[in-house]
Amino acid sequence: MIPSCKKTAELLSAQQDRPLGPIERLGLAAHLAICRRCRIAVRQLEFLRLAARRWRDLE
Amino acid sequence: MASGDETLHQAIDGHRPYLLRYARLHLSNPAQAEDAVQETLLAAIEGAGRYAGRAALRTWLTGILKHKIIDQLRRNSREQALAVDEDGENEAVEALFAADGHWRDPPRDWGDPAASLESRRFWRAFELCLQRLPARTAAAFKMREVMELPTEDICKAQHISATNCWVMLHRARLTLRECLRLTWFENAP
Repeated sequence: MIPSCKKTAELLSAQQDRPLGPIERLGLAAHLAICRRCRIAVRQLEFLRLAARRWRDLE
Repeated sequence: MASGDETLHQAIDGHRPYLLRYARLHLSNPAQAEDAVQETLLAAIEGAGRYAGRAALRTWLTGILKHKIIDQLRRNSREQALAVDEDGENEAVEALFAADGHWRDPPRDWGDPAASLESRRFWRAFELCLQRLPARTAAAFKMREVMELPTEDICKAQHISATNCWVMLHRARLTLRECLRLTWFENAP
């Protein structure tokens, strides 16, 4: 079953902290294939990580 | 004292402003941040013999400082009641999604968000958003994304299970994302 946007957001965050299991990976890929909104969320979460590291290195 | 030692001590002390800024990213209490830096500088001077010059001096000092910060966060988290700020946080995340699991406010493209990183006002918005997070959630997020600690170290420092740790980080990210969306990307001052 394809996960909801809510569940997908959880998986997007989880993959920044731990390796996803095979079922999680399949579900995530299936959802992203059909959901443009969550594809946008992927980039936003990546940006958040980048911003936190940049913030640390600001002089 | 050999002059080489003195040079190293001066070099160590020269990193104090950087270390203080780093400590303040994690410890909102200025006295705690000062203490962590002070302990770091003392430990570094005592352990200067172990500094083999392999890593850059700042990297070595930051490594010591991280441990001092984590010790302090661990002490702080013991003092904070676990559940205090977490219910509100959960509600904030729940509110982002409709009952059927769809986004209430679907993510919209932020264009070239990296361009914001050059803006001082962006960093003010970023810091305000971090300050709005519950203290423990913010601490977990910063340990993960600023110190780049593995989650097991964060769980230990916060006295929580791995699952709770992931939940906390997830809430931190979603809440920050929402705050940046509202205060910056869709309503830049």
